[in-house]
Amino acid sequence: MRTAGWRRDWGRRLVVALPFLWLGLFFLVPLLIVGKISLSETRSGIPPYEPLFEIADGALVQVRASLANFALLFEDDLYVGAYFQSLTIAGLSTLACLLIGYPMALGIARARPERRSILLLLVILPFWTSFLIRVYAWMGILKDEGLLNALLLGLGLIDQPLIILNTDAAVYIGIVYSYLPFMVLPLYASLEKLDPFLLEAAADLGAPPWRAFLAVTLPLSAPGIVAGSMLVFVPAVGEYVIPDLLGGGDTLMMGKALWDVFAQNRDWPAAAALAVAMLAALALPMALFHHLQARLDGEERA
Amino acid sequence: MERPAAIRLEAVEKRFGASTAVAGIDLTIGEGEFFSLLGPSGCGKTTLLRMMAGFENPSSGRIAIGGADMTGVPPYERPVNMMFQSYALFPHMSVADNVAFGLKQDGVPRPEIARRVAEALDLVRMGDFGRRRPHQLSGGQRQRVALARCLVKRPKVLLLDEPLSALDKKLREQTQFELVNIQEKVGITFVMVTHDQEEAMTMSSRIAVMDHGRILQVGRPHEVYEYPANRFVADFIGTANFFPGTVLGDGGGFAADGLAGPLTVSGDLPPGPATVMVRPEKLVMGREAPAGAVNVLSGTVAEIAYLGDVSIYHVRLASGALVLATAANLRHSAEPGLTWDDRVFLSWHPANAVVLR
Amino acid sequence: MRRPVFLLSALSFGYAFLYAPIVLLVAWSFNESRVANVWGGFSVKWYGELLRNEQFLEAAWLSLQVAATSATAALALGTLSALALVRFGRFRGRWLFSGLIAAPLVMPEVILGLALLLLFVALEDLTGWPDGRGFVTITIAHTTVGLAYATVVVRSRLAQMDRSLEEAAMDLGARPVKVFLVVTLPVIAPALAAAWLLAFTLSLDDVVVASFVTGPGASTLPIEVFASVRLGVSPQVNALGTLIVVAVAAIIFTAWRLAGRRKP
Repeated sequence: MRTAGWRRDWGRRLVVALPFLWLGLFFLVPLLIVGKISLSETRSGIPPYEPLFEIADGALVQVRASLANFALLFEDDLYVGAYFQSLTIAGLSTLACLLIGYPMALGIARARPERRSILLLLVILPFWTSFLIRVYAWMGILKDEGLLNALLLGLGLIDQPLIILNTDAAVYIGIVYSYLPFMVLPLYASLEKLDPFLLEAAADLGAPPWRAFLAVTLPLSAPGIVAGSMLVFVPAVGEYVIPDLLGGGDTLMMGKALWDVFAQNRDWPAAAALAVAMLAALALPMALFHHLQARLDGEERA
Repeated sequence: MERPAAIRLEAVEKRFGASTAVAGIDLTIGEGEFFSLLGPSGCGKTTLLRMMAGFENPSSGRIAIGGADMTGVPPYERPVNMMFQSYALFPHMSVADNVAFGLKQDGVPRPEIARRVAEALDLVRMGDFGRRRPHQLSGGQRQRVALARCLVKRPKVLLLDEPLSALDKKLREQTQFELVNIQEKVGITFVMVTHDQEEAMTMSSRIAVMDHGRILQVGRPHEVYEYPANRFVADFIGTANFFPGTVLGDGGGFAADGLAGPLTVSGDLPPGPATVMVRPEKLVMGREAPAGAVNVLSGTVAEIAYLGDVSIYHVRLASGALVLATAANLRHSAEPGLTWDDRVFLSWHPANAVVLR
Repeated sequence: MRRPVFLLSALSFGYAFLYAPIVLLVAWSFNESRVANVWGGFSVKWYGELLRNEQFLEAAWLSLQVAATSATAALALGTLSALALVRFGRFRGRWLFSGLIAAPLVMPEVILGLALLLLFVALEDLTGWPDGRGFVTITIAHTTVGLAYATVVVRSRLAQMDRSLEEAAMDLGARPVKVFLVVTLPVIAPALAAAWLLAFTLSLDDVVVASFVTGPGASTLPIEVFASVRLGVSPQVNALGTLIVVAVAAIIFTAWRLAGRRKP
């Protein structure tokens, strides 16, 4: 009766192998290539970088690896500035998403069960419409002749239009707006699992609602907070579209910097080095995310 | 030639990492038996059942079904079918399609499938429900469909995983009789896992009591109840009074710890430490000391649990020990007989007690 | 309930925030005037212009093809990954595997775009394939991202599923592949549909990765839209946005009604 076991093993290997190979070729290898190119020197031509190894007569003649690109990153204030600006903007935006998103998620989780699915649907719906076009809509709202200023001027709250578009402020608004669903959904998932009887027990034992929230709800929703924060922070650091459309000349984020270096300067190795620097900065949050997923893994298999 | 046993387990063990779920089990289940694996949760009975079904492989040992060695054989190649605790009816198929599923896998021709499905559904009295979907059925109805789905394949053995646990009391009693009737009618060997000893006692032809991965006793319900092999079995099935002490040799009787006089035990027993076990219903209770009786204890009624048909009296002896005695409420009267703090005498015939070592 | 007022107002603010731009988009699309905040009267002329815009239409067609293809491939691969992660227990390389699956979810798009472009350039250099970048390369890129999302969706449903259904099927004689096709897939079908739609939407919406890996002549709708809005006001884009919102709302509404009828 060996056949069943044998066939099962090979079947399983195939199931794992197909996605594994795909990701290996189209995700892992590309990242490795980025690493390799970041060490190459720039030259004009196609492709615009020197090969890492030069082989002549079957022997390794020269290894042209250089850390020049990384040095560039550290020396040029532009890149260093972009690095810190990205982290700051992404970090504060994540915080804002949390402050807005948490009450929303809580409100949905506490709503009546019949209402919850439609409330969630309403949170997800904007996400399914074009992200690009919605950011464009913000341009119309925030620009000097835009709707917001028209409203505020009309109401007499201000007498000069607020300059929001093409500044950092617009970028914050754009990021918070676009990534809010990514914060609300994991938060909701974690709050929904909360046993309502725990809060009743807290109340029964004498805790006022705010105390119960701090002592029971908040700690138990921690996995949701972390997951949501990761899903907002990490991609936000590398955002390109929002800073490009909504930000100003001095709003330099790493994603935009990478694009500019790549497309305008045609400096692929520098762009690759920038990508490596970004990955290094994000390695910790990404590992945290993976660790969380692995823990959920364990719960699934239990 | 002797027919092979329906199931034979030889030295079957199952280890999960460092813990042993099932430890060295030898068991033979005969054809046509209604066999129960009884024990508390975590005792390994479900693991054992799953090994018979093929969902787990033993770490060591052999499992033979109908005489054929089934070690390593996957569940879809075994002549065994299982009724799951959650019934596991396919939600996207009708009742009839659910029951037909197994036959389709065997390549049975369509007209025969239709005939056998109708037959199986009639057997479980669900003949009119063929087109319904599982979510439209009640718990009891789903269970019957699950049963029909297994029976239609005419397996050598039908395995039942806690079949009655999801049902309420009245339905449970009804279903107990139905299951036994069907089993007798169809003649298939049933192996049932349960933690409910009443269920096991009512339905089974034989019971295996398990604890911590081992079988402590196998026997007919009567044997297991009246002649338990050890303290665990005595305690797990029904209620028991235990009197630890020592068997005195040479007809000296039994010296029970904490009791004044010796107890009389029947049979020729070697001396040494032992425990006398008496079931509460075997105790004769009265306000006066019975004349000419042996094994007399006196005490006061500390608690009475009134169950309607019987009452359980908790009697506290002079030594402080608590003895349980059951008496049927024979008289239809508002006035109770014995009441709290009454002084009572308990006695039993030596043949009604069991000496455990 | 405690503090319903606070939560209610938080929810209202949140939804208002989320939907304000969408509502404005719809309003502007019907505005005769180009200038957004001056109402020039109701008009559908922007819709007309949009439907006559060859560039947009061609790009839209390409985008739909890429989205459909990559969503299907992403679903297939994502279902396999979900199966492996939920049903196979501990297997060799599981840690790496689950890391690879989760990474695209949090990786910034610019890095992904750059990396894939470099791969395609290197591959073309080495083997001659891909011959120029366009439909194929964009589809590959979108499949890779979609795969990660599809896995999350399918995985969660698969984990929730009653395993005894699969065991019962095996017990009744079905081999593992049959069990998967006849029992597992139908039971998780709604999740499969959701995963496909998710991958489809992500593909349709992507501008960064597509910009990196595309080639001359292969312009997707988001790329065209992006180019257009960078230059300033583009009322046709308002019209496009409104059409998308209506289409999505219609699909989600239908899906919700179907799901409601399916439930017991």
